[in-house]
Amino acid sequence: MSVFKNPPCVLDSGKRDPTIEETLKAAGFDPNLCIQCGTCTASCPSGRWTAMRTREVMRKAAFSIEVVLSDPDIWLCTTCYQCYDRCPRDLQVTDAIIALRNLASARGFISDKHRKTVDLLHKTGHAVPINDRIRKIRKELGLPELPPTVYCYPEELEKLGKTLFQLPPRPEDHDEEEER
Amino acid sequence: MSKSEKKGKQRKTRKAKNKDEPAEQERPRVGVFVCHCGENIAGVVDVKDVAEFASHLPNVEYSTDYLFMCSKQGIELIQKAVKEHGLNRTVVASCSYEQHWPTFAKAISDLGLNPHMHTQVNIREWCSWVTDDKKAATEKAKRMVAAGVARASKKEPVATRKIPITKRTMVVGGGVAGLRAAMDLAELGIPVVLVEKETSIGGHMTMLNKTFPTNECPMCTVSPLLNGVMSHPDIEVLTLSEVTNVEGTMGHFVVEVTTKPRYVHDNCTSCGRCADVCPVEVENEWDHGFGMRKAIYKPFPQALPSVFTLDTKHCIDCGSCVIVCPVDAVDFSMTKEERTFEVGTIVVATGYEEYDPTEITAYHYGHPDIITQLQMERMLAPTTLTKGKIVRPSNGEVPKTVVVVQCVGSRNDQVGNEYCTGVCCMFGIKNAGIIKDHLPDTEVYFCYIDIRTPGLYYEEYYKRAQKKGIRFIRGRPSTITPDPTGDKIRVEVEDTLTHMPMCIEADLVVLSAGMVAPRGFGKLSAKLELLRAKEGFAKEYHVKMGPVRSSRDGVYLAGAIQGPKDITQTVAHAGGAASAAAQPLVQGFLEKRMDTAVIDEELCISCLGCVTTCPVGAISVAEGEKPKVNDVACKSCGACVPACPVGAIQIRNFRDSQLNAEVSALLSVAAELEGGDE
Repeated sequence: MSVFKNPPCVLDSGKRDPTIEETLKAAGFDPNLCIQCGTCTASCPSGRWTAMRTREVMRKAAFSIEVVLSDPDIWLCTTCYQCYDRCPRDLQVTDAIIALRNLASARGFISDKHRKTVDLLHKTGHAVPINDRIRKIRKELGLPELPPTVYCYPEELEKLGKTLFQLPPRPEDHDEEEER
Repeated sequence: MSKSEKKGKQRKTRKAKNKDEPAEQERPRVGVFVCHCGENIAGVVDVKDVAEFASHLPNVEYSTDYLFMCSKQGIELIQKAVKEHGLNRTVVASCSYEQHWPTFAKAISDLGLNPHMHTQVNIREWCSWVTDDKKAATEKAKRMVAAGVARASKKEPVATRKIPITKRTMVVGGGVAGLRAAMDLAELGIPVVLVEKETSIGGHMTMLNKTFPTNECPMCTVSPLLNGVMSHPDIEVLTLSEVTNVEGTMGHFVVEVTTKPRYVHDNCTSCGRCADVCPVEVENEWDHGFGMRKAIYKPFPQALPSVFTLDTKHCIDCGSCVIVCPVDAVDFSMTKEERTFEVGTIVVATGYEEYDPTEITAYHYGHPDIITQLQMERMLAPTTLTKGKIVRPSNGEVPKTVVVVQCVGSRNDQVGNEYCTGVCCMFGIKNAGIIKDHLPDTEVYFCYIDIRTPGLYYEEYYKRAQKKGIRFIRGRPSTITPDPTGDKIRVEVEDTLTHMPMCIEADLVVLSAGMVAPRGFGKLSAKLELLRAKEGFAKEYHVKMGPVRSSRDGVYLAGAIQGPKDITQTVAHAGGAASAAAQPLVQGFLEKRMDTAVIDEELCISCLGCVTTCPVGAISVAEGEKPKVNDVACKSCGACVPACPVGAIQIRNFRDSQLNAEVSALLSVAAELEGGDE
């Protein structure tokens, strides 16, 4: 294996994606104002156990490069708002992560598990669809097998599918497993 | 306008009531000088066109433009034109009145003209700096010049009077800034009244254990100054005193000072027998929780004045101190004293206060093992309970791990302090180093956002601390929590340089709390009518060119009340304030331009509207007479002018007739220029 696997990073201003900065600013987080003090990371209950480094995400966001969107770490935030609560610059960190996730998923950068949830919503109208066990229990309790939700109205499910969030396919050159 | 003109005529026929009222003036001969200010003006305004336009204006005898009017050559150009063309009024179209009116007014007064015959037209801040539109800027500049010329043609000569002033200064605050300022003033032969709120002088500096970057003993360095001030024949030191009222203006302030009773007379020999017998023991505020005192006490051994103080809040009236005092100094009958001082200038040196970190709940300040830097200083003092040893206040054990936390209450928008105190990096590094010196086996962590050690010997000091083995962690702790299952303090911090969130189990945490404006300064600043910055500190006159002047004439700022400062900066700043405060007093008089309010007694109907409106009380009225303006007190603010229902009160050179001429010219030229376009 070659030791030269990381080519030097060349900052190409042409690759800057202004949408990232705009989205973050609209969410109340100007990435240029972050002083990288690390209060967010130190506050992060997820980051103590996972690869999530809030400060690092915010740093990448300041460069407005798409890497920050494809970074699987942004999905490790539990949105507990501890960082938001303690940021000495009063930046709205958690809201920024949520905004980043929205932007990422709009471009197809979303983890397989979340993607499956969206697929289930489209297919069944439920994030957690009914299974055989539940059907059985319902029957035993004298209830109709299917609850009076969208299950009973397949034509409504079609309408729902149209109004639901449309997830674009994963960008071709992006492989989540490899990034990890 | 006609009324004012009529008024002018009436005046001439009457006996001279105001010496400087408009006399019969010779025909105005105006010179217009348009400045390029390098590219500042000429980059946007077509200055040649403006000068050409000005040459056709009424009363203009001469008009030109030049690269830098304020240069020596520029001034000579003006003087030459005045002489050659017999000009009696000048208009310079350049920068602000504040910046260069005095320069050009002096240039013409050197030739024997009244300085008020110069009119400044600001085509930089008000024109070229606010737009890139060259055409519009040039047109606006023309209109402004035309208005300036019209005003200049109507201007009247105004006298400058020398006003004698009270040669005495009051210094408010007896910390190192106040002491330095008082000493410097007294050494110039100016009598000083030093007002200190606490029982003794010296301020925060006397609480410190060591000072950076030399690790000197601050008490040793400051005590010559303390003793010098106490024994100086020209300095009167008032402790336990506060300013309760301020009246008057620069040169003649009348300040009322209230002194709280000390209940111990000055003949106290400081023998300490009273404190020995006093049965009441309370926390000593001076030691920030690290020392005790009696109800009759001296906050620290070297305290000056060297007199004990009786604290009636805690005294139980047992009378033991009265019985034991060998010189009968203790006197329960002493009462509050109010004194009034006349002073020419005032120096405000009320210092700072350490930020109270209680507000940052995640840091759990209030736990005995979480202390501030000032408390650390007291812990290190040999006179406190710890006798200078570093221990955990909770159990008296030697700490094995100490964490110093920077930026507590500074650089923090959440608590409203956006600013960097700028002192804590050195302060924190100093104490971290001292802890390491005292306890070489103790791990000392230093959590910072950025290390700011600019200046000679400061970075070197930082390097010395690094050599001692202090672990510098670049990261701001998110939480500092006492461990509920043990006796450690858990500090959660990310080392941002290795991207590693970590938890330090500390025995002692020292918070580098920032410097904030002292509590209660609002009351004093209101009495002094000082503007304050949003952070609560007193606002300086100009951040670069007037850092020791306050927003009010005659009131100067010394030290940390203008913003956070270390001792070096404070002493330098206080020296500057002292010299600024001394300047008019040494001169012995104030020069005041008499472009003040003037009342036409014939028009005046004695409604007294002006008397009640004047914010500085400069207008008074005697029984059966018309109101009179005190020229010395008048600030030319003009509040009285609209209050007068008959237009009898006017400001010299801001008379209705003069302003009307200016506005009419502005509007008529506008119409002309617009008409020309069509």
